[in-house]
Amino acid sequence: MPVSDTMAAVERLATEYGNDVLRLATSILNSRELAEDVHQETFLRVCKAWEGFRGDASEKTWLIGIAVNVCRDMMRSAWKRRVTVSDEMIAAMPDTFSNKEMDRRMDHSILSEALAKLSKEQREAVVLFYYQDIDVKEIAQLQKVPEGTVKSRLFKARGKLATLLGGELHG
Amino acid sequence: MGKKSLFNDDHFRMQLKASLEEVNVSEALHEKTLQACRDLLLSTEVPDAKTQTEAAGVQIQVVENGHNTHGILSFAGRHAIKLRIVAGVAACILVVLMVWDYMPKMGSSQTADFSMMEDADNSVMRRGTEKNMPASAGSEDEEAAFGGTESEMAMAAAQSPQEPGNAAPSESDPICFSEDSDYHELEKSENREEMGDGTAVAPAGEIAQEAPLIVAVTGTKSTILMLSSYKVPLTVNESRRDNKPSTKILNDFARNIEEQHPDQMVERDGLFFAYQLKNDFTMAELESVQSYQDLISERGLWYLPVRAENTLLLYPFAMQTDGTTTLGEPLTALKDDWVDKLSDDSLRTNVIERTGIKSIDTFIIIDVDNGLGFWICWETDGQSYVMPYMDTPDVFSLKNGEIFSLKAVQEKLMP
Repeated sequence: MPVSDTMAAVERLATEYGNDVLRLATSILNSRELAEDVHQETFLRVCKAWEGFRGDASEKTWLIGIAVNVCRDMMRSAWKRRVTVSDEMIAAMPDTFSNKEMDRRMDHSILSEALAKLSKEQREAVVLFYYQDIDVKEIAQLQKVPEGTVKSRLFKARGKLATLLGGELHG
Repeated sequence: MGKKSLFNDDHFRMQLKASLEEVNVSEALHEKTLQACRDLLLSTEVPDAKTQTEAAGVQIQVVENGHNTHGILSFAGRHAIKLRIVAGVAACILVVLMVWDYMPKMGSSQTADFSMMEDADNSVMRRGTEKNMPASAGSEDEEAAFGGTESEMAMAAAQSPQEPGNAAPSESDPICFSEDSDYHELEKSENREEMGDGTAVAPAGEIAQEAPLIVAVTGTKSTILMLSSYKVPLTVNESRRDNKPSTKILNDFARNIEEQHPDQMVERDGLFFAYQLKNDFTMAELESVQSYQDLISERGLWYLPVRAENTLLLYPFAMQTDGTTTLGEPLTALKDDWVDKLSDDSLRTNVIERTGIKSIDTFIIIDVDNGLGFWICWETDGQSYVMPYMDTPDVFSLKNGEIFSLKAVQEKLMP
């Protein structure tokens, strides 16, 4: 396949799904910095794999599958990577937020923390299911586990999230 | 009926999406990514002869059959020390694995039961391998093998081996092999003998190929995969048979771990395996060596990786001529932060140390599902190796006679 064709496809995918990849990685890794690395790495892998894409899954599912794998790799290599807050970052923070902004950030922070407390398999399943709107069957394919396992992961994740976010599950 | 939940799907979905609304790809990141992609694509191009003779600036042509410039190979070339980036397989690897022969005590060659057999009823299957055997063509079979449940695994294990054939790469497996790559496939042999303890052993001379040996053992609670990570000529003969660990020995060994290291919670439900580094070993030699590494490089030694709550322990063990086993101290105790240690360098070092090989040209780690299991593949001096590094049930999704090319494994595990 000519390079130009591959590049055109990659550009299209990056434009169409770039945000999805970044958001997925942000959710899973809870780090914007790492998520950007995942973004780049994902599309590099797409470059190499595009020729072999057979269309068995949708482009988005295929792409998300690659991104999930990159996230996993990233988690392994960057496990417990310390995030250092530089002086520049501190300086860039505004001194005050509006109440609304503060609430929004608080909600985001609580949600991120709750997600971070899930196991990575559960977190993946949750993000894929709730954010990416990927159905259980496709998640099972992405995670390479039976559908029942995905359902179980989602169920357990809901239970944890309910506790962490202050709710309770229907009994 | 419980209380009404404050957590519900729709609300959570909305909340999650809202929380990520502001996470957008900046123009700079977008451009940076695309530029990296362009660089990658251009760098992987291999101009053909015509292009090479043309002046710079001439439209670049892609060599359609430039296998080595595609996919993981080219990628690895640029990221040789990055594990997760499937490194190169420069000359294309085709390694293989798996196997499973027949299960003599199971009553049927078409049925395997992973939850069976007490010690005396265990089976050890081993198969020689042979060069120039056909590539595994990926396929449904492998998919089943990797994605299956234990029962599916058992069913899959009963499948018949592939037929020998042409060594040329198949269309469906295009990037794995260069023209001179070795193809290895577990040799199908109908000529087997059985030891008194139920261990099925290939007759003398059958396993005499320079190829990996995989021994799969099934036990009451354990499925054990033993993989020779050495590509040494293996010759099975009477004098050596007694040095082969049977399932009974391995189970004894597992019990030893539990007795001698009661603080370690050994998981035995199909979650440990052993791999053989070499197949010849004596206790006296073990005791006389100064370091395990010396031993490994010179003599055979078995390791039994055992996972015990986020800890991976590698126990060496030796068999004495009277059939008893001696357990060594765990060589490696990767604590909670073992993931940290699975870095490129440490893994590479580990493999070198454990195998005694001098160097690793290319190095690949393949994630298995949840990050707890890996296949490690590497290539040294043109030879390819694959071994499981940690264990998950998926690793044991074996099929009878199944061959797993590196690419097939990658396709299943790393889309």
